[in-house]
Amino acid sequence: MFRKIPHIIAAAFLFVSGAAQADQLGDIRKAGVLRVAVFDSNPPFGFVDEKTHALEGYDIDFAKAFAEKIGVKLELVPTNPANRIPVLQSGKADLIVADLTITPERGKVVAFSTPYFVTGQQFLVTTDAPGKLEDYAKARIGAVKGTTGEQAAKARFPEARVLSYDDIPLAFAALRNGSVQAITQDAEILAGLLAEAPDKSKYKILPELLSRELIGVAIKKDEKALLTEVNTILSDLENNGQAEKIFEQWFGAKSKAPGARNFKIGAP
Amino acid sequence: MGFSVDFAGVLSGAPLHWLLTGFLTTIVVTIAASLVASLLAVILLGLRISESRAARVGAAGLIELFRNTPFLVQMMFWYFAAFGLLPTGIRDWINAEHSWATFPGNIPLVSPEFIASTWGLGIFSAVFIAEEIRAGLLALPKGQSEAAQSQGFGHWASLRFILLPQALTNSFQSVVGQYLNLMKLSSLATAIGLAEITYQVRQIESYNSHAIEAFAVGTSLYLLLGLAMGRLMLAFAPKRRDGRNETGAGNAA
Repeated sequence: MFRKIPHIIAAAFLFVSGAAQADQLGDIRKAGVLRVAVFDSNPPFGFVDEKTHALEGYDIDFAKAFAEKIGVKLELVPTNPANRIPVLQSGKADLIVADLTITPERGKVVAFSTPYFVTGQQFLVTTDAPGKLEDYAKARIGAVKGTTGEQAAKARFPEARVLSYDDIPLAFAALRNGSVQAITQDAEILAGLLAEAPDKSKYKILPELLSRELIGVAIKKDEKALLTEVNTILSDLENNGQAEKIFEQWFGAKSKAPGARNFKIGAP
Repeated sequence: MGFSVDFAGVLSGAPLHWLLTGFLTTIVVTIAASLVASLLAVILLGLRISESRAARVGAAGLIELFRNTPFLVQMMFWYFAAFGLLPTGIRDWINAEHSWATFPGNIPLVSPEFIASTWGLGIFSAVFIAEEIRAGLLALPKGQSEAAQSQGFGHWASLRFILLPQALTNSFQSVVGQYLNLMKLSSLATAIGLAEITYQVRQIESYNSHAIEAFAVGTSLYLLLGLAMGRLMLAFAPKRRDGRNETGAGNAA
């Protein structure tokens, strides 16, 4: 009789955890609606289009693909950086697809899919300078005080001399007058800096990333079925080329924020 | 969440190393810039009180220019503008690694930051030092130079043997103050990337957010350096030979 106690306990655990793990994917299918938290003012990830007044962007296209693959209607829940995770936790949305960087701290409160976008710090150098990051292992590198780029450059190239300035225009001035051979900042910031520069033909951005920031879809913790479904859809989108098409539209050569797609969904 | 002070985050590991190299950098740049300032001050003073009108006007113009513009702007000018005007060969040479000119603690003495800081601090302080000494000269009774002339001393000889020794005694306190200012102004070199105390303190702040502790330690290091410099320089103070009392010496800092 007592030998059965472990089995009873195990069965009880199974029952309790099974009850706690309400199948959100099933609920979504039953309701026929997938609710996705997205940005409404963060181009090109999620923003309101001036002409159509509809939400558009890289994240929005992924949200549409998720709804389509699950086979339900899409309901977009506009949000902002501070409210993203609370919107999910309070049950107002099923997924967050809003340029959310995967971090260990966030990993404690939500579950993350495989990354569907990768960004990070890049190098801005003069046009005639070497094209590989490793060529700058002993160089003088300009950074901005207190940024991830400053720390990343030091960590990756301990023999380089990392000089930190108060802001990115000053770092750019140091590059202009030859005090440093490269400056580093987030890829999007460098792209914006170069686009506005009057002498942009003299500089180039190296495609390689100094450090990587992974952007993922966030789901409530312990929703295994939904997480698996999202990951399967993401790898399908990569395999059938749709993910690359979406990237081309928002970050391709003809877009406002051109960048190289140096990642593949599901690849390490 | 209460506030608690934790000096271990500042006085151990990488932050401690940063603070030490920052302290060394501040000391080295202060000494180098003081030498430049002394040399330039002598030249500027010589021009400012020379018999040639052109030299006097030229020196006065330079002095007014450097005295009446903000130091931070001058520093940015030397580093971001003037350095870029140097020929490429010289710039490449300055940017290269020079093991013979690297101070212990990996502090490069031949680098755009160090050279611009030394030069910028040196010339800014030189104009003030030259003016302090000139003020000491102007404070001398006219009888001193007239007596020197009547004894057959020329312009330079009367300066060298009669007037300057008295002028230096008069202005010594304020000149010491200018050297101390130079040391404190070196904190502004953080804007052009010189890794001195202030730069390292801010780095610690962004590294582990120990802002209060880091600034407290940084401030103590400046205070320590200032007190030591003041004491050291006053030990060389010229003795007054006119019998006026010397109380007040030691308050220059």
